[in-house]
Order: sequence, then C-alpha cells, then structure tokens
Amino acid sequence: MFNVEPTLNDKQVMQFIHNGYITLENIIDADFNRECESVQGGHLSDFVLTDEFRRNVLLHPEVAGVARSLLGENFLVPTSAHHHLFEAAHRGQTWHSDGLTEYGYGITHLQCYYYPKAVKIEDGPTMILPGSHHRLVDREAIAHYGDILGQLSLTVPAGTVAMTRYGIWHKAGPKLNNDRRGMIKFSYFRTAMPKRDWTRESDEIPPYQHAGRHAYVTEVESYRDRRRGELTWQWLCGLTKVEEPLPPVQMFNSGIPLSEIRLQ
Amino acid sequence: MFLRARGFQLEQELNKNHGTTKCCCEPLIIIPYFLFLCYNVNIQLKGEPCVKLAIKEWLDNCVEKLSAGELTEADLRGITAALNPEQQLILYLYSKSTNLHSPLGGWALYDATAPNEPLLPSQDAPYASVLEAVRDGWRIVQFPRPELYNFSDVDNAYLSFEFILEKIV
Repeated sequence: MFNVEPTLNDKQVMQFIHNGYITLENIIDADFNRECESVQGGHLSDFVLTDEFRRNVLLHPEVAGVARSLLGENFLVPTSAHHHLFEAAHRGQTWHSDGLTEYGYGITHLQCYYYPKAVKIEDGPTMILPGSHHRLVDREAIAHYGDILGQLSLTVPAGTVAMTRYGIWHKAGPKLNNDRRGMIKFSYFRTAMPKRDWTRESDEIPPYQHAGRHAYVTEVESYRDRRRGELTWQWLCGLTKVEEPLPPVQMFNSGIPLSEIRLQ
Repeated sequence: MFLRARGFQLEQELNKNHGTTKCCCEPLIIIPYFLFLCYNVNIQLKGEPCVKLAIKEWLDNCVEKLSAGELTEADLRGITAALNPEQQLILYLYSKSTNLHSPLGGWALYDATAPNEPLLPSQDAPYASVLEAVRDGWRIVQFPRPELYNFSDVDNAYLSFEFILEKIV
C-alpha cells in the first residue's frame, strides 16, 4: 500500500475545523504546473488517472498528508476532477456551496483547488468565506450576498493547493482581464470512522480550542461555531459515536481507496 | 448626467421652435422633427436599453394619438420623462444585531444605472451601520423579522440581520 504520513497536528486540525480550509502554497513542481496550464477546461478523468498527476498532485506528501490527517487511513483518492477555466473578464460568480450541504459534524469529504498558475486579484481568484462550512443554507438563497467581512480571495503563487471542507461558501471572484485562469478541483473521501491518528505529541486528547470569532459572525453565532467545533473535534478523536455515511455520497467526484493505488 | 443634459436640450429646442403650439394642429411639421430628434437621441444612447425602450414606448404612444387626432404638446413633452427615468438602487446591509447602530458584517449594492462591469471585492463597508446609511438618504424597505427566522440554538445558517434599503436616483 502506498504509504502516506499525516502532516497535521492537534492545533492544525482544530484550525481546519474552525476555518474550513487550509492552503499549501507553491508546493507542486514548477514543470508540472506548466504542463497543467494547457490542460483543456471541463471534466477530467484520464489525466487525473495518470501516474504523473497522482505523483505530482494527488499523492504529493503535503497534499495527501492533509487528507490522511483529516480523513484517516485508506481514504479515497480522486479519480475524476474538473478544470474550472476562465479567460474572458466577468463579474464573478455568486456565493454558493457545491452540491448538497453534506451537513454533519464529521469531516468526510475534502474538496481541493489546485492552481497551476499564479492567481492575482485581477485574475478573478476563487473567494472563500472562512467558517461558512458551519452554516446550513440553500445555495440559491445566498446568491444575492455581496462583500462579506473576512472573505478571502485566494491570490496564490503557482502550484498552490487549497483544501476545503465540502460545504464552504465560495465563488469565482470578479475577473478584470482576459488572461487564462485555471483551477483543477477534486475531492478526497473518508472510508472509516475516525480516531486521533494524525501527528500528536502525546496520547492525551487536548480540549478543543476555539480560535475566536470570524469577522462577519455575530456573538451568538460565534457560540454556536464554538459548540459545533467541539462536536467535530470529539467526532474526529473518536469520542462520540455519531454515525456518518462512509464513504459519503460522491455526487460529482469519484475515488478509489489509497490501498488500491499502484504507481509504475 | 449626459441623459439629463440631453433631455434639457430637447426641451429647450421644443420651447424655442414650438412654444405652446398645439401639436395636433401641425402634426405634419412637428412629428418628423421629433422623429429626427428621437433618432438622434437613440443613436447617442446605444447601450442604454432602458432609455431606448422608454423612448420607443413614448413614440408608439404619440403615433397612436396622432392617428386618433388626440396628440397634444403634453404628450410630446413626455420625452423628458423618458430621458430621465427614476431608478431604484438597492442596498443589502447585514447588521450584527437588529439594532440599527450595530456594525455591519456584509453588504451588497445593486445599481441598475451602473455599467455591467466586474468590480474588485472590498473589505470596506460602505457605512458603519444601517443608521449611517439612513443618514445618507437610504430608506429602509425591509427590516429583519427575527420571529420569521427558522431559529436554532445549535446551528448557524444565513447571514444575519438582513436590512434592505433603497434610494431613488
């Protein structure tokens, strides 16, 4: 079995629970980034299945290490992806979450954005709203939202991978130029109930540390975020027996167990 | 500004050339002149679909009245209104509480008069509070009604608290 070591520690797992994302900047090989720049837009399957894509991106020690930390052993490795490619200037997408909310306490699905090329603010970067993965909403009913305090434009260097909890609000930001801006989106899935098997300094489980209030959040909403974070932490540490469907429903993406991956 | 200036110019020309003439008495002279003016305006208003539509409606109405022998000067002066339609601006403000003094967590402006072009995102709220927006001339058209929310003491959902404001320009 292809060995993947977890890379996150307790504090980083708690930060992910709170923010709903982690970015790994400039980690993918520059030559491979250039190769990916010219990939056509739309659904990708054959390209994602190549050893080259697996080795350089999907099983990159840092990317797979986060997946291993948050999804446990033998997670599903993506076998499909979608290349979101923009060229013409546009006003940007509306805020939305993808698919169904997958609203549960557990972390069972990581949706990732890989940027082969550097993204500047005028390129229409992906925007995300940290902490929004805790909110149960109808995606069409948030389409009128505009600027939100704390929103984040992912202006990143080439070779960056952002890994998000499925359900985080996001959108393609306003694009001012006609330059090519690509993002390859793919997902990892959990296959087994969790335990605290990421990087740890001791076997004693620390209490959940709430990282504070996101800028757009009201006071009582912050209390709810804190409570929800505690429940997710306990679930990840195997302290609660709340059942989640495993692997979760794969509506747009597919994967195969890490144990079945063979690289030439 | 251009539209207002153009409307004013038209009105001046109308006054200068026809004064208080009853238009229905001289339709063969006046109507071609107005058609010329409208054509001229229309050319310069490319990209202003709302105004073009208003002019077309105004013209259709005038032609209909002309055919019926009911065209008046007031009908012709209706072009001024068509050139200066009032527009409603809509502003959504997300307040940290139902108190109008509370700071904002989000906002969205819908301006039908602005060009349909991309604008960079911002982290600078247009106002410090809903009350400050009201002070600047915005009128609240919808207040958040907490009792209508699907309240849960456990989970968060939509941004709160949504005030909808308007300004007529």
